[in-house]
Amino acid sequence: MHKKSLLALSVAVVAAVGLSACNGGGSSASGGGGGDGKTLTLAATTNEKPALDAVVAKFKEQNQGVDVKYTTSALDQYQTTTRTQLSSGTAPDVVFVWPGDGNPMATRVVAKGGFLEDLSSQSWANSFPAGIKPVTQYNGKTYSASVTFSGIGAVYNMTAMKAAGLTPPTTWSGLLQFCSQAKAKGKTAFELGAQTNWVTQLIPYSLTPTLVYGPNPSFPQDMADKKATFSDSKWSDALNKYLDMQKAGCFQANPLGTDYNASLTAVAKGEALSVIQVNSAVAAINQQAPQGTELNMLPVPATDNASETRMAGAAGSTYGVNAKAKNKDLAIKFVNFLESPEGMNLYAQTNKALPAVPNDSFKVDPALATLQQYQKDGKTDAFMDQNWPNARVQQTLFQVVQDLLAGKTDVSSALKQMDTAYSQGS
Amino acid sequence: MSSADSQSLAVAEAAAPVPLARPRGARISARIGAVPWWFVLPALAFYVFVVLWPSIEGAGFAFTNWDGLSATKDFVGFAQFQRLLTDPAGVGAVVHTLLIALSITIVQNLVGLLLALGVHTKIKSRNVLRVALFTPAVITPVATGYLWKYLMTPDGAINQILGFFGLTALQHDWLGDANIALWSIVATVVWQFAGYSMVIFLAGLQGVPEDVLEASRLDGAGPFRRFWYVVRPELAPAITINLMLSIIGGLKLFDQVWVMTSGGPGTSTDTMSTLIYKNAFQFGDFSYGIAMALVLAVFVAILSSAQYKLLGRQGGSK
Amino acid sequence: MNRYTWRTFVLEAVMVLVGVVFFLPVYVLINLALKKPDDQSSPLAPVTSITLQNFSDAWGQANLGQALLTSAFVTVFSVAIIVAISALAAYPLARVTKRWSRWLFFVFMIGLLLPFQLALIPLYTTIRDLGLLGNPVSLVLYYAGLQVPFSVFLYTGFIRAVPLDYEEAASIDGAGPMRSFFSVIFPLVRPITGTVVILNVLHVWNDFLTPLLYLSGSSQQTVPVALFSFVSQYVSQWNLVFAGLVITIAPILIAYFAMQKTIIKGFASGLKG
Repeated sequence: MHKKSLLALSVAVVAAVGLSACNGGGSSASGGGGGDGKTLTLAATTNEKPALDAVVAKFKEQNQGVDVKYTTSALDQYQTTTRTQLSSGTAPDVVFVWPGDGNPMATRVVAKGGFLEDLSSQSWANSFPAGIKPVTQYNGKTYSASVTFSGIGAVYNMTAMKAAGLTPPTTWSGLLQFCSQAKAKGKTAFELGAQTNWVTQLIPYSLTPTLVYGPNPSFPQDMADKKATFSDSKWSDALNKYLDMQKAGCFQANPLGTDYNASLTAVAKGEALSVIQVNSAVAAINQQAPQGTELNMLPVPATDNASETRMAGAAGSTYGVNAKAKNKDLAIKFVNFLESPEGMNLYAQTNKALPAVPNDSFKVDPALATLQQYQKDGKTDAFMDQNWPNARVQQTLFQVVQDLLAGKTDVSSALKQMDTAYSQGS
Repeated sequence: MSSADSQSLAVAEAAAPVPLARPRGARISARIGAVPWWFVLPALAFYVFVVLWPSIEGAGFAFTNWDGLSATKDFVGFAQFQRLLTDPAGVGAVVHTLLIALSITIVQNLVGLLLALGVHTKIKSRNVLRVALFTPAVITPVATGYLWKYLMTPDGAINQILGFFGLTALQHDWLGDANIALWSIVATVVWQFAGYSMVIFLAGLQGVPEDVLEASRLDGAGPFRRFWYVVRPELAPAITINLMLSIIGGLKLFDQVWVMTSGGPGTSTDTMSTLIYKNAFQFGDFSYGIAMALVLAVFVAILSSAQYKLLGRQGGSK
Repeated sequence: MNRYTWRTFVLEAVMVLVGVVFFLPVYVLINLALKKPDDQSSPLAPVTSITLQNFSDAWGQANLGQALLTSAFVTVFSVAIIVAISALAAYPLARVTKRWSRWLFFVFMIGLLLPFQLALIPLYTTIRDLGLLGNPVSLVLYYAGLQVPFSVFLYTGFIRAVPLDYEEAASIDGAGPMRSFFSVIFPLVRPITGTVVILNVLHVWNDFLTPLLYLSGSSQQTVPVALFSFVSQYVSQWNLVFAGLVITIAPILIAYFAMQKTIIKGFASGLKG
């Protein structure tokens, strides 16, 4: 390259960089808005995007002249970027948080660092049902706003069930029998996408309400007080039943080579009759299934007494206000809108969940009617990780379930690993 | 001979008469005048600002108990490094990392060398093949991870092909089987970067003197003797660069592992990089993750300088 | 080796077969991107009714147009800076044999070893203090520093092998070191510049975590980030995802095809340095 052209290039580079630095200057604060009281910034995980599209549009309609800039990213990236932004003071005004504890972006973890605004004085703070209120709090103060209630259950493709002449089981022995009947018809009873790590926890989460947390409601507190451990609890029954299901042929051939999406596709196509999943799977399966496919989400029985059966149901989508928000008033206004029956119902409707505060104006999806009934009857227990002291416990559960399915470990050593992770504290 | 070949050969010949020993300093400045030291300043400024200083600052976290979020942190000395010694996950990750780095270094370079020898011939398809074989190296690692994850599903393309040829015994759950998953990832990386190694080897092969090769053939030397005594010495710089790149890349491997298995099933494909990521950003154990990153840096330093010494330093500086 | 014998033919057949095997995954990628979402045929079966719908959907939903522009901006400017400063720095490192020169080369090489996690948070804080978060210029700055060690490594080796004669001639003509560098050295090292450019373009274009962090919250995203968030949303719709992949690798592949000879020549002669 000639001297002159190199010089010209350097000049061009410097000019262009300088120019775009000026252009970018206005929006340089991460999250966009400059604290003008008109532009709200918000970040959440990708799953929340459809619901956010709906509520943000409604919020803007009701607040003329206000803009909401929201970004969504996949779960891993969301945790990494938002934590870095919070610790550097560059986080958006409203952030998606997980309820309770046990996750790097959980309410108590973030509130403990002083990054969340105290929302105790808001009118909705005391209106949550007993199952949700504690997980919005840290040290007795409300730091986050739960918008939805979600649950875990077996999502059955009822159309395929009818074709196979089978009905959903209501007892544990019925479930094992159902597995062999399905197999005889050439169908998988429960498709399992255990390659996706968070899917691995869903079966223990749907069995332990009946086996552990229902019979012994003080179990989470006992664990916190070091009076109980995973190892000497009925968690061992839950993991053994997981393995019993595998032995009974309840799952397809390669659960560890199947990911979340592939598992839903199998149910949508009717190759599998059911998948044990979070309620959001209902909407995802509906998208892929042929028109008119009927789905129903039902509890997973864990004992032979059907009346003992409980479900895992807990606070779902939850938001907090950044304590250093540039538009704090607007942020609180937005969260208040989310907590209004209108905002909550719209959010829950779009995300195929239930509103965090039950109300009569919400039109429930028929597939979720059973979950709603269990919520009303108080037969649900919070997702277990919401009461674990650190994120390592849940990650350990993911890992030991994969090891169990691969035959690389046994139930007692799996539970010991979880106890070790639990004892590392917060 | 194509024009590309002859041109590069011409350049190679132009460089050939350079004596291996570097001219003495006094002689250089006497001949060309003093080279101003401040030429290094712009590069040094960028480098110190972006890499060196932040890394030193960041390394400090390894001696604290910071969780990556809260406002407080305490000095804990070498406690994080002691944890590493007793962490079964850490030991597993080190083993997996070494297995990956070693196998990628060997297989990728071996395949790359064979490909280079194959297309550095008179075959008519050589130019097309050079492009086709290099194409995977151009694709984003995240994308190749997704592509191969799709190909490796239990009823995916690979098992379909094996089934088509009646090789059902070779069908596997490539990423779901804890005994195979690590090697499936290695295969993906080798597929992606074998062409990259090939192109660098090809460059080295341009310098192999045809007349010496021909003479040794007339003397009755077989292909292996010809390779060892005539081709290999010319390839030394290419070998050094290739080994450096693949060792460093293998030890730091993250994208493909994260996309394909996230370290699973269980912990069977956890590497130092995935464990650093999990601890620093998912477990809220930032300082521990940084301590691991420092250990990884030492690993890379030892292994890459060992091989640099082993193969002589002509590769980088000849 | 000068004639096309039956041995050459056997080798040709083997190599073509190997080439086909290597290219097969890329074929699956393109094949699926051209298939309709409800096409249930095997991923290996050639597409029967071609659709471009996946491409327009992916283009719109992942906002790839914007991402390609941002990536192009970042790639062009950071690689231009890398080339300029690395070549300049390599000149004294190659020609001065005093102790400081060797030490400085060693200091640059340390950069090859450091895992990116070490500098992640301190650098993020600095970029924040400069007010550059959400601005692609932060990435240009980042890559310009990050890729210096590797590029200096390649340039220094190459310049060391350039005979002194040319500079000597220039110096006799009364040229200063500046002119020697620009009119003699830089043109002479053009082949290695090709190598440095392509390796750095690949790295900058494909990097993922840094752009995710630095541009988070802004409407500007680079290609891998736009693609990844798109993939995580539509991952069951492989046709759509692969169409997105094809769009994002196309610019690099087209550039590579166009520059193929220069690049291989660049590698070749660069290496001989």
